[in-house]
Amino acid sequence: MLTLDSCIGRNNDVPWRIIEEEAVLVSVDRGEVIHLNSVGAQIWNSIESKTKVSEIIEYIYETFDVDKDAAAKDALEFLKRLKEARVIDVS
Amino acid sequence: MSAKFLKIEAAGICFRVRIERPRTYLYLKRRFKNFLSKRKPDFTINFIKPDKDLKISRELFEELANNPQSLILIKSEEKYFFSAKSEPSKTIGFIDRNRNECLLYDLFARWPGSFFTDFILFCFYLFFGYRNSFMLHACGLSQNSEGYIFCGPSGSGKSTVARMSKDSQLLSDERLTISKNGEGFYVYGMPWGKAQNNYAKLKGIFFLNRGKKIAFKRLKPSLAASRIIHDASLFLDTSINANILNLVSRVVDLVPCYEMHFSLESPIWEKMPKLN
Repeated sequence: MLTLDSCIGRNNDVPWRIIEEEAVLVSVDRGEVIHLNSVGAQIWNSIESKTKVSEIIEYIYETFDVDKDAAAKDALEFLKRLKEARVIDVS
Repeated sequence: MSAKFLKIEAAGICFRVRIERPRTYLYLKRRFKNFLSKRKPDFTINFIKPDKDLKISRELFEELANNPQSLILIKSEEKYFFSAKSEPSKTIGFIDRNRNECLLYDLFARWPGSFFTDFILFCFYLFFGYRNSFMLHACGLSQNSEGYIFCGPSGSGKSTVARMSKDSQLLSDERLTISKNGEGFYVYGMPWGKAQNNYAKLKGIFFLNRGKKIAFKRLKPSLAASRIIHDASLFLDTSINANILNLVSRVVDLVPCYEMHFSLESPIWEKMPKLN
């Protein structure tokens, strides 16, 4: 379960690369390649080890022109997708 | 009877195989006839009759014989073990990159060479891993020493494009290696499907779709990289996979990549975009 207090970090077994402002992530154990647009790539880039979900929301709110509710909704949806693809660890 | 030896080379990597079963030797000699080599090998594969202690149950025997996907590679210390997915303790081979030595049990006398091509796929992945090379599932053609790669899932038309390209030389209609050499990238045929031991300077990559008429659309590099990675042969080693991703990002920087729609009547080579 992903909440505002959850801590997330990038899965170190997932190679990734920023190519012309977009991101390509490789999840070998799921046999998936994940392509993130420039907004997704910026959010992905902002994830450090043990980043709180609330900090990601704050980052989206400050970086992009969205209100706080929309930032929270978008962030949770985006992170849920990354969690399902096992490219982030959640604690 | 004493063992026999074959040397097989593809994309600049050569390995020597020591084979105990005569039928297996004949099978591999025929199977790899376009890739036999005389040069000094980079590594050796001991392809031998199974150890008496290796007890394979009838169920596992049938599982392995009927489904090559039932095999996995497990890293333990510095070796990679080739094992049954359902019973990882049943090791049927290993790859030792430090010693450049591999071993594979030739399990089934009735089916010569079983799992050999699956095993060498892992070998190439590991030995290419730090050599600026990676494999992908695609069709490769050479025209005037320039290489063209056609990617797509089964049924997308890879073999059809090969058949429609009478003036081109086939590198392979199933598996290729892309290799960085100096400032450029080269594409090599690999010994899967119809294949030749040949290479060409990589000129363009095309992702195939069936359509009513021919059309090409240039792909942006990040999307092209995702598509190439999707077709690349990636296994369990994170650092090798990171190297491959790094290499792919340089490929899409230098080599134009296109979405291509075509039909059986399409004049592919006449309509192909001008590639620098």
